[in-house]
Amino acid sequence: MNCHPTVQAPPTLPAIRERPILVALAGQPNVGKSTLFNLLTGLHQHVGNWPGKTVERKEGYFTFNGHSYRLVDLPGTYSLTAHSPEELIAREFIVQERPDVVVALVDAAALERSLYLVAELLPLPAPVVVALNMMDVAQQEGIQVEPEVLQAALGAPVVPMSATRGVGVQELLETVERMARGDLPYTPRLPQIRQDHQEVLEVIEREITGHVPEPYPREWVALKLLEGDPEITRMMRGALPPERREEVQAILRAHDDAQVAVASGRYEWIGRMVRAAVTRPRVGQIGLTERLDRWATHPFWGLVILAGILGLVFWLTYTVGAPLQGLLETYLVGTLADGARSLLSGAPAWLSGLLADGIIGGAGAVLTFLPILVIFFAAMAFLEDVGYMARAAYMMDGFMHLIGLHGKSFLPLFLGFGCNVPAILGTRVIESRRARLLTILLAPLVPCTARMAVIAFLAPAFFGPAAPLVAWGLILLSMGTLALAGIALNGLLFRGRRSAFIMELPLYHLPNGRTIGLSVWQRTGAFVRKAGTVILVVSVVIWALSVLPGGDVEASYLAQLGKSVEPVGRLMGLDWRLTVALLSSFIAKENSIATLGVLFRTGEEEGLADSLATTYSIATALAFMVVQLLFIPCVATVAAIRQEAGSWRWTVFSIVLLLVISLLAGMVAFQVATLAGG
Amino acid sequence: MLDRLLEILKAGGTHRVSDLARVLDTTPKLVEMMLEDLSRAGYVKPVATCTEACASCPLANSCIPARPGKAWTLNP
Repeated sequence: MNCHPTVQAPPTLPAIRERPILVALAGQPNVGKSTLFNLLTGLHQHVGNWPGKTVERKEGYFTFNGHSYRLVDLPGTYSLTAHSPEELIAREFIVQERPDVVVALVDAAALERSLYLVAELLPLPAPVVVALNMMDVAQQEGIQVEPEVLQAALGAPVVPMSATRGVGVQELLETVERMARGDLPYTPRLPQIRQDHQEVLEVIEREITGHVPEPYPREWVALKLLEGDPEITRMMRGALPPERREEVQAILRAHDDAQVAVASGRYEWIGRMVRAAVTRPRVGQIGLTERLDRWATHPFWGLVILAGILGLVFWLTYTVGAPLQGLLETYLVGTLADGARSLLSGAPAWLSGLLADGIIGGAGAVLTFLPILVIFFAAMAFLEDVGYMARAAYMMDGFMHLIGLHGKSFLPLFLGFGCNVPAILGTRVIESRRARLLTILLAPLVPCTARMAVIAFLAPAFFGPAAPLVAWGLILLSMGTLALAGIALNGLLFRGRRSAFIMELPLYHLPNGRTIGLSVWQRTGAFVRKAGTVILVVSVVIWALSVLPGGDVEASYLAQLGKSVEPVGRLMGLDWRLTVALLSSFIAKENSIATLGVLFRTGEEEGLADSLATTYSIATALAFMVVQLLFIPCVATVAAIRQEAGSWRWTVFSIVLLLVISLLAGMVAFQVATLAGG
Repeated sequence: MLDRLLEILKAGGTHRVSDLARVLDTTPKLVEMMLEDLSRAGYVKPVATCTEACASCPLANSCIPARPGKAWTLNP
């Protein structure tokens, strides 16, 4: 079709007016207003600023059917409140200049958003023609809009079009022309407010009658007063006589919820329009998401699925990762340690011991976790990328509410599965001091990857094929402990009330290999750096303490330290070596394994996992894993607690709380497992 | 509709935008618009996502950044 409608056909109509027909173009940003404006005016346009504002003003001319038109492009706005200069300019122009026609350009693919502006345009003193733009985009997205139905519902003309393709422009201009001539029926159905507020509106209308400055329509001014519009309130404060002003203000004060009522009426109206004219077949990504979410976010099945997926992740991690870890331990750590010993056979014994037992046995043992962590990180990144993590968070949020926690607490706690430090720092998003402290106290009970790595190492050594089940049970134990601690702390210390929480879940989509790869790479890198620094240093220190003063482990400083706290460990079946391993985990959780690696002289005869399995009973192993999982967090987390809680009192409380919980749980686990024959 | 939404939220609990849309017999997009409106009026507050909270965290790389979409909470 002719894109520039400077249609030069002989005029079929007598000149209906001397001045050009004034058309205002209204619409939200990015709805195609500029495209339509340029299409209609071509080179006949002028760009400047609105008087006294820095907002751009575009105006142009065109002729159609022999008539000349003046087209004013109003600033792009979503509504006509007085929130921004753009909104004020748009509504003032329509009220003051009274255009012959207002063309409201709306996005057919996002009709709800566009219709809010239309709901505000219709009560203004200018006829509105709705240009239903982006029909092609809506169709591509599977949204079907019926223009005739929308027209009947609105009581104003609706023209379907696609400005970028030039489709429907001719029809739009014909409709504008007929509207300007008064040839079209125009009985717009305006949004209504609730009956009680409707009566108030009528009272205000009566009160202001005779005092509304020209050319403002009285009904519209009354509505804006009720809505608390600052500009109109200011204008009427000057226009009303003092006693009338007092009366109106008293009415408005008594109905300060009217703002919600007026907006509510508009949303009802939009809802009706959309219900009438739009059909969204439940297909594609949205339909799939809805079908999947029926299960994934079901109050009961959602939790079952969450537990199942978690179990699957552990099963995958152990069945694939654990054998690889075993191979690395036997061939890499064992071979390296043996190699170092034979290479340094002539060197001083301490040097060979430091390298083989301290560095390779300690930090090396931790590095063998790598396959397990890579698989775990990849599984988590996959779940996150397809959009499941948000569902897991949603399910966990319901769980958080059970323990009286603020809805926001799930975000930081969820981060705790990665590392407890960002979980503690993440509590900054919680405003309430009570909810924040409670979240800080509970965060260390979320099993971080470092703790899970230790479990990942120990579980297969003691439980063989049942390892995934044991690990899964331990994670559930952690979450159960967190819930109980939450309920107890909330009831005893905080007595808080939870507030509503609303979330929008992203659509499910196919995973992106690059995103997952990048995430695994970053997290693995962080782990390797930790193994090469903190864990390495601790391994060397532990080794030194285990050989000093005389070279005999049983008589070393470390043994003395371990034996001094062994009585506590004995309650849980732990000997001094396991007790020391537990204590060393305060520096970093993985140090438990590094310490055991040093103490058991990994690589001498058999791997660490085998040494542990032959030394300790199942009951001891289970108790050790339970304590390890619930024990006081690493020093970095404690520092974060001190920083975020802002008090040593709460920091010490947190340490004591976790110490008591972990030791009690360890004792119960040991006694129950011993009774069960472990 | 906005007043009904506000009533539901004042009663507490966790809600999904799609559930609210079903209860109010409307579309999720309209519920989202109403939440934005309530947020402007100060009734609800958008919740900072962990991406923002972790922007300055040196350990951001080692944690699992959840992708929760948008979230709001009722102002006390």
